[in-house]
Amino acid sequence: MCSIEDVPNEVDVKIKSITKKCIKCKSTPTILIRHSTYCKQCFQHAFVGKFRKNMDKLRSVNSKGEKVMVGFSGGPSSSRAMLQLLSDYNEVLPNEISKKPLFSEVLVCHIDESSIFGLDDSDDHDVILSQVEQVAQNYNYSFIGLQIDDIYSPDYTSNGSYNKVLEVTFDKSKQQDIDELHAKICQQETSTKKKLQSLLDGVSKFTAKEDLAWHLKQCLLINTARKNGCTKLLLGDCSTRLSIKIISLTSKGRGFSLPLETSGLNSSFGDVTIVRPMKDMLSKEIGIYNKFQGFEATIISSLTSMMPPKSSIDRLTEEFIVKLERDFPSTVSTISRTAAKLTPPEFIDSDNRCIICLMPYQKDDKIWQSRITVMTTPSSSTIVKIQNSTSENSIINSSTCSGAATCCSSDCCTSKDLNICSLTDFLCYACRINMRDINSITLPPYVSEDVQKRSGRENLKKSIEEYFLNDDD
Amino acid sequence: MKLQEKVIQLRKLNLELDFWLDHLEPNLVAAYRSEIDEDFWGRIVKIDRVFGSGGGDNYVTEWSISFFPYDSKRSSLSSNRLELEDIPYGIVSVPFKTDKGFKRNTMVRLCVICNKERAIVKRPKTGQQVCRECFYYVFETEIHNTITDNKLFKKGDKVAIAASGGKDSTVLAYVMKLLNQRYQYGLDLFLLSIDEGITGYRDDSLETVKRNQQQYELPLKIVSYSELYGWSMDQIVKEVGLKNNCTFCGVFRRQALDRGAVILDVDHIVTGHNADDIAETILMNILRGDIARLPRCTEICTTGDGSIQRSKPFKYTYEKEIVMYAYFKKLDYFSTECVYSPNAYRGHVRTFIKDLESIRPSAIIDIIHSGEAFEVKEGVKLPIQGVCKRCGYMSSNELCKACMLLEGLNRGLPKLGIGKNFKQKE
Repeated sequence: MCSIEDVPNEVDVKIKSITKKCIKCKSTPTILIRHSTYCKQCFQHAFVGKFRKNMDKLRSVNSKGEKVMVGFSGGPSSSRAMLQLLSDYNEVLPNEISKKPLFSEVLVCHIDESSIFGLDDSDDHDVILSQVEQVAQNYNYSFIGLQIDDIYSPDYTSNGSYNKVLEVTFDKSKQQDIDELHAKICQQETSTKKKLQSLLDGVSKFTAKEDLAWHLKQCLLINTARKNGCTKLLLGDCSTRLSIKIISLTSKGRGFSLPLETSGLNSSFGDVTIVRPMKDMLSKEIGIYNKFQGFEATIISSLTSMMPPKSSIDRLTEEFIVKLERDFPSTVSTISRTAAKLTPPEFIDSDNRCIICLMPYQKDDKIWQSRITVMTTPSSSTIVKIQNSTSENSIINSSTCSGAATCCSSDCCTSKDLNICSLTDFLCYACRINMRDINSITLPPYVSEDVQKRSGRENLKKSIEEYFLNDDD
Repeated sequence: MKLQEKVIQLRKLNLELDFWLDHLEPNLVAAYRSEIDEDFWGRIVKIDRVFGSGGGDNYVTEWSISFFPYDSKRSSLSSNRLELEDIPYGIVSVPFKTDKGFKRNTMVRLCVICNKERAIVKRPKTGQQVCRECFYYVFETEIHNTITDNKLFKKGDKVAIAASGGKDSTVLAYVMKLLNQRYQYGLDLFLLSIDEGITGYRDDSLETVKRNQQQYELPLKIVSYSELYGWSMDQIVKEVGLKNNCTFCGVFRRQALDRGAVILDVDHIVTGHNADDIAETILMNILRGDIARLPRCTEICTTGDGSIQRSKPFKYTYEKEIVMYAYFKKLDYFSTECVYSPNAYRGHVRTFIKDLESIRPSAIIDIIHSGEAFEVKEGVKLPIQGVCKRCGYMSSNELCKACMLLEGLNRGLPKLGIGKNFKQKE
């Protein structure tokens, strides 16, 4: 297929004479960012300016001294630069009596993910952790060090003591109905580490593994911020990282929640607002800044570090964008600008939030999916179920689930396992796709708590459904 | 020797299996005695093509076949040879272990949909293993669902199928005719082809379209660039060179299709754009920051003001499945890339999508799902759709792109209207 206007405009950029000047002060430049050259001072000035601009937006919204939490990955990363920038920004010099710091207190939270790749027993591990803690202490910020498997502890549920997990199994031999999941809420007397391990071992593809790991981490961060009374959670995603995220989220079918997941200011979690003040800086700029600041490099690996590009969608997208940016230096900024023009979903309440990724989803995408990807023929046995998937399924669900749910709400059978038949109803499109790559996994209490609440509500709704007024009536 | 005893017991049962046991026993017994006939056991399965009168037949040979006493027609087997079609149905699994401890089962798989026929393809969209008939069924039904769910047509509509002779449009013509009959859409179908005037590409593919016309018994109309614009693509390339020539071709084709539709007096044009194309366009629009086209490119049906409707029934159909369908149905199509090759940037995106698809088969549908959910923020400036002063075709500028390009060509300024900084001259 031929197409029009394929070539982005940068190809026409002419290479000008080598004797370039710093675009600000006309002195000899040392740094090239996209098409502009800077000297060291002007670069740093412009870099800090981008950060201040994003922080100033917060000032107008809320001028009271708030508590804020910084998500700190620990590496020579954008979050490292962010700590420095934040400290500079929040500092009040003794002579500035009238000025108030924007934040009354800064907490630094680091989540140790090494147990995901089995590195937590290595010798370097403790050294790295103490280095990470040292960084926070250098700024006199209180440090919260967590393990990724802490999400399995009952502390991170909304009632604070819910301890049941959700066991989900997917029978791959039943290829006809690839979205059928078996799920039960149950008590597991194993360590949080073992539970996390069972999650990771039960997922066969890296794409789904990375997704789940991120959802757990995000939930852990938000809950920690909430527990510590922080109203803002600062994340260090830079524009390079965000543009990779935009393309990979699109590729994973997360277009609906994408504007939220990549926005500079996401207040969809209510009491905790996620802020990304580094969203306008390229990873190259951050690298240069960190080098000028003399920040030492600590290597924090991720799930697909050192893996070939085709090992996961995130990894492939990273490779794709980084390569493209090398040849077409406006790729990253164009992607970020495009995504910033998309509008986030409007109505978000607990009923249309995915229980795993906590993002809002569209309710009717299941029907859409079954229409455009036909899995059965009229002669095959399961046809009735698929064709009437919406109505039939709900009948099955209500008849089998209602007994258990009402029973459990009265707390008479807390020891019994609760089977959930309609788990896919509580999942967003992309999380449902992820579930195709699992065998058997254990999801943390924050998920099971929500499932129990929601299935109770669904049953309640079904019993009064006939009285609801429809627009068609 | 337990095995031999069992064989004797088996013979006593009078199952008329002697012919099979006679044939199988020596080898099995020898293997138990560790006298392994490496030549026999070394080859598990092999497909031989035997050519004889009336074409070739596929034979499966070697030891795994020795374990079948009968073929699917219930006639007994005496040799180690079996025709591919005659392998009995039912999952037959043979676990084996290689030197490296690698375990797997070889199976004759059944179609996961009907559970009767033998699966012949792995569906690119779902990874399901399905038989030929079930593949046809799901392929056609998904297109039918797309058409009916989006209410693309009304009874009595006159519909032109944009036919290039390539795989997409050939399958589209075939499927449209088939569904029109099967589900009584009541459509009047036409074939509409554009002759861009590209020697060595379009002239050959148009021959295919002409054959399709006879095969499908549909009226055909061909409109050419030289007759509409006074310029053929070969002449344009001579003028503008190989860079940007796809811009001319694309812009002109869009209009040419509409003009052809007017000549045919149809209400609707269907094009062969498939799911891969749409996913690619979504990513392209994000990458080049085309916020105006981003929500528009996922629309299944587009209408200019008053002009003819245009839709994409293959919106959710994978390119690979279209090729499969054409292959199994033995459809006559033309498969050569355009001689004026596509550009590099889109090539990167295309490769990326192919790689995504190999990681996760549903990726193409997932991208379209994302694209459909995108909504542009209020207050973002979008170009206003107007009408071209010269030709009356919809346009976001005073002059439409086609008129602009044409003027450039006619005035000997072929760069007019290309790139970012063009000025429109009065």
